[in-house]
Amino acid sequence: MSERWRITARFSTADGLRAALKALREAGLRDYEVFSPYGLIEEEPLMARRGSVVRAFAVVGGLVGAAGGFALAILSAEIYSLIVGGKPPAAIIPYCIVGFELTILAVAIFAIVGLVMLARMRLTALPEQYDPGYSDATFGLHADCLPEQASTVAALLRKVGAEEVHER
Amino acid sequence: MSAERQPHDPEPWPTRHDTASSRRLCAILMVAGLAALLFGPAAADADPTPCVLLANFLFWSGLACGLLAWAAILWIVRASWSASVSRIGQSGLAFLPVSLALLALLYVLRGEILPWLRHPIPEKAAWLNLPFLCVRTGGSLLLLAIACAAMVAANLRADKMQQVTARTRSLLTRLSILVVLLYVLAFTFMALDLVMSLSPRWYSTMLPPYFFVSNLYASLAALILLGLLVRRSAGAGKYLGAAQFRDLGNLMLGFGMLSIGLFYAQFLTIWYGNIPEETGFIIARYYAPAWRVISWAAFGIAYGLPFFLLQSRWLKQRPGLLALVALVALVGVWLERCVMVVPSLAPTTHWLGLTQVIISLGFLGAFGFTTLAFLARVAPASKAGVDLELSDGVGL
Amino acid sequence: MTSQSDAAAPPVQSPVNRLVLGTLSGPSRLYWAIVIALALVVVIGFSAFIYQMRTGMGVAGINIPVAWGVYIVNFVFWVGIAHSGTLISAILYLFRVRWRTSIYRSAEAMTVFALMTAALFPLVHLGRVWVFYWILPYPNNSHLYPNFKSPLVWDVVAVTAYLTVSVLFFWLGLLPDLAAVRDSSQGRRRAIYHILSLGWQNRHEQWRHYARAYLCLAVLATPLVISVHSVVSWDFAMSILPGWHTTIFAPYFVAGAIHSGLATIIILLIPLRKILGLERLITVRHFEAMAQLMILTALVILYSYAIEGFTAWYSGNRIEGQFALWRATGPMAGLYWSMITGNCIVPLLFFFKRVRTSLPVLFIFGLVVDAAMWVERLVIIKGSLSHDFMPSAWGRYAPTWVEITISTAAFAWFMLLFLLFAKHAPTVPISEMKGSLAARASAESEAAR
Repeated sequence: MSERWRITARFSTADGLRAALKALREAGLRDYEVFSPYGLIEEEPLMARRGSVVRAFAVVGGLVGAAGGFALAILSAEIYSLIVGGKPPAAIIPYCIVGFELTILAVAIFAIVGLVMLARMRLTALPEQYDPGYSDATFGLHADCLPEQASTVAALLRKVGAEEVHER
Repeated sequence: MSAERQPHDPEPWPTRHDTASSRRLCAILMVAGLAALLFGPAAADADPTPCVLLANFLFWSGLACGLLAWAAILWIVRASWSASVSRIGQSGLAFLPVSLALLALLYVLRGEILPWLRHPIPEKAAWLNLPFLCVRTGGSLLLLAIACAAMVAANLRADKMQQVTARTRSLLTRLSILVVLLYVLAFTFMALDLVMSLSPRWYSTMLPPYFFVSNLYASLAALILLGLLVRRSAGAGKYLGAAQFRDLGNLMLGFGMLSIGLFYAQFLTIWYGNIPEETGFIIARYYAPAWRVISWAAFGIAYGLPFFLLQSRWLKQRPGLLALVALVALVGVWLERCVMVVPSLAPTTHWLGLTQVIISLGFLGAFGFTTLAFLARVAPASKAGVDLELSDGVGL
Repeated sequence: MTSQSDAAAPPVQSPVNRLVLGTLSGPSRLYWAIVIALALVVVIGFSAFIYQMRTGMGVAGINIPVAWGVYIVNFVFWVGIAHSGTLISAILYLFRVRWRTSIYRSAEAMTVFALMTAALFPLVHLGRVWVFYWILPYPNNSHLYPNFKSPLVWDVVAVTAYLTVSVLFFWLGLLPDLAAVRDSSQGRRRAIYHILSLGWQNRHEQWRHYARAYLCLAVLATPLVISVHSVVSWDFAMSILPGWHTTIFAPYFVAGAIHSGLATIIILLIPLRKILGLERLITVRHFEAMAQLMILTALVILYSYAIEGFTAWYSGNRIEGQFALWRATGPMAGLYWSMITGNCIVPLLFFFKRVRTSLPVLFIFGLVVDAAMWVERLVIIKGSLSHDFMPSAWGRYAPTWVEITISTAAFAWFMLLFLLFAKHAPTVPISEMKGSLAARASAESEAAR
């Protein structure tokens, strides 16, 4: 596998980052990662990867929760099939509440699990190139390229206003 | 109407709606409905026509007042996206004279729709007496109509202003609040007098809130349908685009869930308590073989189906498809109003005949004709609403 | 090829970071004094609870016929308060209401801590608290499962779901800000916040999944606001007692919950913004907006009182009618009318701009509304239990020192949790605030062009 170089650039404004992303896309580069102090939803079309399947996790959770909630209520009532308070042993009308609440609970849990898995959130140490300023007012761009492209990419980023560029 | 260029608005002021073809169709339906009412054959046994008239009055007056209530609500909460939507809401005013005329017709037929007139209930006579009913139900609806007229008039006057003044905005806010309060009052009385009193021994504290909230839900569906009808001819562009329809779709989903919640709260409490004086109403509709299928079908069509369909973001951004869902919801709510009324008054009636369906289509025609005629004479977006959008509404 | 680097540019500091992270700096002695005092009250309350457990439930005032007393009043009160936090953080997020940004974090914290307080009371009230787990559906030798047709079991399911979803939603919103605290810290504090933020790196890849998950949870929390307090109201409405068995209880309780919650947020935020120096971020405009929402909830509650009273008369049911009359004119009349005045009449004064923009008035009115909402729960619970069908079954109830001590300790527990939160987590959402300000600046420059 050929060696890859990482070009790290830092910007103090979202506009600067936006210009850099446009420049990289025009140069045909797609392998980059963006860091920002807040979500850049409007810049989504410029990003390397878009969209999220967290919703799919949530949908699965919903089905599990709904089925589980109704199953829990109905099956536990069928074990001792007694008429209590004049109501049938397995009564769908009140069981809607149990099904509804457990659906919501399951969707929430599955959505969070989906987020943690898809966003690769781990308790490992932060990468070396991570800048604490990314949670303050600094925007970061980490572009991976071939060694022969490194100086071109670095020059491009300096040209669009990066305040700091590192080639490694 | 000539274009007035605003500092931040590069587009010219849109021209009026052109809905002539839709209005022609509505006129035909109106004539057919009137003919069916006057000359249509009565059913072999108990004629459900008075019940159907009552159900249609509740449904269509509800839509008209609900449209106006939405215009008021959107102004009160400073919804900056709703300049055109609230103008469509104001079109409900055009149907109100028809509503009041219908109420007068129902007064004439009072013997057939108010069972306690034929069989008075002494312990409830202080409430269930005709003069008091006329004052509270008729009076509140009249007051509501006057408040709505004042609100719409103030809005239309603002259209002619170069800059909408703070005084006008304050007046609009006060009138909007008054409209919402009177809407709640009028529809509470309507629910108590024209739905609950049809089964005079039955009572439920939830019926009035359920009635006016589900009415707001149906009115949202009507807003969507009217919006689709006027949209293409309006050239309203950004004022009535996919974003506005998506917001309406989300609102409809939210109010649909609220309506389901209120329905369920009433149903569950009555089911659980199992007290005979409460259960009669529910059993007649949701358990007795005569109405069981229709009642549950009405619920499913009005709320169940739209709930699942409105989960889709893709659908909500397509006005045509969204309007289809709105139409389904409206049919369901109309059916539900029939379910509220008919089993109390004509328990042996299992279904409606062709005459009654054509009469109901006549109401559709009247509603469509009056609202579209209003929209054809006014600017498609209110100036006050446009100013709100330009100043970007409330926010920090 | 050798690596090359530019000289490090001076770090840029966001004023929002500086302002909000500055509030987490070393707490003062007064702060610790208050924390210790509150902890002491909690310990006293816990001691009263131990005394009650050892001696028996008879030391509390609850007995036949009033078997549900101040503990259940407190349970319903605290669950109710939690709802406003979710309204502000989730529902107003879906409506894209911008004024929510600087206050929703504190509101969400209020939700979580109010639920943690509420969850104590079914245990306190239980008597044999050591068998609390019997209410949970687990496989056992006797094949006994809780009755899922019981409103009390619905409560367990609903409140557990609400607490879990609220905690997840709260933590989710905090994630990027916990990372901000981590990045401005050293040593052990840095390690703790790194764990709490699950290694958040502010990568766009994380932000895009985060945005979707946040929207998902906001959409979920919305029906929870309506459903959970509806379920709590059904603890009463599913009975057949006069004053309890009425179909409007669900929206009536939900409106009351939001009403008391808004009042509590106002009470908490007015001193908080002053003490932490956040007046620029939490302005009078925020309180005005909340006061306007309170007008709506007050009107809904007023409507509910009116329709309840009307239906009690209209129904022709003698039991219901005599109960409604007794509640308004009998020994509880003082409490009844003070609840109507405090919940409905006083908040309607917010129609006047001068009233709703005066912070001292807002604070006092917030206290009045909270007190009136607590009294409302007392009137509902005590009223119907002490005066139902048979005159021979009518009785009285007065809370004992045990109940008063434990209730006071619950307030102290809530305040303790909130104070700990205020000094250890950002009370204003940093990343969302920066995003809002950036979006506004961008819109303004677009308009200027």
